[in-house]
Amino acid sequence: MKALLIGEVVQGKLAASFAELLGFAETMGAETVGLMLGDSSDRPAFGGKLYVGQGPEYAPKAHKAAALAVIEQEQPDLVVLMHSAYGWDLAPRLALAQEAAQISEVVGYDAGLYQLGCCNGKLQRKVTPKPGLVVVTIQAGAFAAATAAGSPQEESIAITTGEGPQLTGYQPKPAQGVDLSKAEKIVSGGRGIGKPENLQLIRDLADALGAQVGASRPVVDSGWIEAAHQVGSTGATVTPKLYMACGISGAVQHLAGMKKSEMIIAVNKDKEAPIGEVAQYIVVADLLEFVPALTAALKG
Amino acid sequence: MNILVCIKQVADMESRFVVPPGGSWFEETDLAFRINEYDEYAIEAAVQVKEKLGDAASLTVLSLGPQRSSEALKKALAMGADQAIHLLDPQGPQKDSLQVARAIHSAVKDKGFELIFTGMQSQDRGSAQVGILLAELLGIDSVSTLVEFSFEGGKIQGERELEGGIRAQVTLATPALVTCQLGLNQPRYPTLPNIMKAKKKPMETLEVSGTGEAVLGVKEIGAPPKRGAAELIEGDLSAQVAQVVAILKDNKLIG
Ligand SMILES: Cc1cc2nc3c(=O)[nH]c(=O)nc-3n(C[C@H](O)[C@H](O)[C@H](O)COP(=O)(O)OP(=O)(O)OC[C@H]3O[C@@H](n4cnc5c(N)ncnc54)[C@H](O)[C@@H]3O)c2cc1C
Ligand SMILES: Nc1ncnc2c1ncn2[C@@H]1O[C@H](COP(=O)(O)O)[C@@H](O)[C@H]1O
Repeated sequence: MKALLIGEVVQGKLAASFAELLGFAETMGAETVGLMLGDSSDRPAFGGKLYVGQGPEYAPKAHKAAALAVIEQEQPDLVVLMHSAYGWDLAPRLALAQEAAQISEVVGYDAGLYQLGCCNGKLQRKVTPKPGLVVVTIQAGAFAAATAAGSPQEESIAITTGEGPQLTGYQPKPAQGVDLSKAEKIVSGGRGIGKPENLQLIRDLADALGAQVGASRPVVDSGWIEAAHQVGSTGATVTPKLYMACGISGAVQHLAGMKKSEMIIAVNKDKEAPIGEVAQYIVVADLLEFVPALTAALKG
Repeated sequence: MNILVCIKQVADMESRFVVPPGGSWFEETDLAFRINEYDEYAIEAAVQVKEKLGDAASLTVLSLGPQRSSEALKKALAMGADQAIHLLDPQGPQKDSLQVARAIHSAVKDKGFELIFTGMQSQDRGSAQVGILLAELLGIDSVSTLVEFSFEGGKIQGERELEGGIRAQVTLATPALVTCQLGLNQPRYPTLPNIMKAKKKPMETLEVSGTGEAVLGVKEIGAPPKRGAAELIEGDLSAQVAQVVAILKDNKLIG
């Protein structure tokens, strides 16, 4: 079996997740060929052939054409990308052009069955693709990174640019208010707080514990708190001694930012909330009652 | 200008999902359904374009799904869409992303839509495929995962959100499709007068067609393997508080 692994270049750097693509290929027992498109001098450490196309990092039409040319050349059984902003943008274009089955956000593989999360991780589906080429995007963190070894044999390919959507630049990150990445304790509020005023309950508990205030994405998107407080794959990655997740369901993108915390205590009225995957404790309660009660007890 | 928004109605993710023995999807009875969260941002973005263009724009909202999906369409009409197309498919929730995209494509390909909005992904499937597939089937340009969108003189300027919250600025020209990420805007709540007005807006129901063959076979669906096993702290509020205080003390997290 042969797998074409498509890495991604962001701001001139090859994403470290290439090692996870290699890890997935290892799980599949596949021989590997790599492809990276963009202007970067980084090279992944592996022993196979690597196609490199210098040019813009994001150019859907051009990247599709370049990847299809490599697929034509190599005739792989699998095309593998991360389930990332780059991967989920390119994968369907390749799958459709190749009339291939696409499987999104794969979390595991066993005995011919691809495992996929479903309904915010509350269910899992096991699927088999139709015969022929399969395009797979894998969930970040689901497959252990392969230990880096070797240097690839490089082959340059052309990227024809000019047509279609254009990347014009990057928006600099706004100055951050807090830096949660160094916090020792964090109390986070999620959509379960219900309304912006209730954020005060989270702030009060954080005060009583000497903790910083974190938040899940919907709380930030609703404008209830500044973006610097967001924890997750598109926010801060945190590793505190204590992480309290109040009214946070535990979507995979939130878990990505906090699962390395030492002690995780969730407060949720749903005892089956997926936050239970990483938490040591779930307090099954209405946070509007439990959080102020805990604050009062701590202030004693 | 003809604008299209594709929306999916999905189960409330806080539901308890029960899969019947040997089933390939969860039991729907007793569950609450709503508009896929990502698609609410798509509707809002489309309504804002329509408001800017005035009478020069016509906004259609489309959903493929069982009978219940018409409720989602009604809400989108109340948010400001002009008309709705319901691709009625009792088996909709079980269809592959490719089948959904093909069916939408065959329903809209002759309608001359110049600007199409979809969500970045559906909450139940999380496939992040239907939007880009639809654009590719139509042969128009597309970009995914926008957290900023503006439309001026046939040009779209947007920001794609990447991992770590980095934003890549992109431009493209219509005809085009964009997929909308959480936080793109603040989706409006339909007002009572607009809910009343929406009742008079046209909704066309079409039998679904053109889905083609499935590309994935579902062999099993069920609860995921338990990875962690969080200890549940249940019972009476003061006992819960006492237990958590004890845990914090034992772990030297409070003095
Ligand atoms: C590409 C991408 C990137 C993303 N990046 C991030 C990210 O960086 N960070 C992030 O957080 N999300 C991110 N998300 C969004 C993520 O998928 C979820 O939508 C989000 O994390 C959900 O937030 P939540 O848990 O607060 O809300 P919900 O999922 O709505 O959960 C609310 C929870 O509160 C509980 N609850 C409700 N009321 C109460 C009450 N009174 N008492 C106790 N519990 C209650 C409910 O049982 C539920 O479990 C991203 C999504 C995508 C697609
Ligand atoms: N059944 C459907 N009817 C209409 N639009 C859909 C349907 N399924 C998916 N979409 C659109 O495609 C987007 C991505 O869905 P998915 O590929 O399932 O993650 C959604 O946010 C919707 O905008």
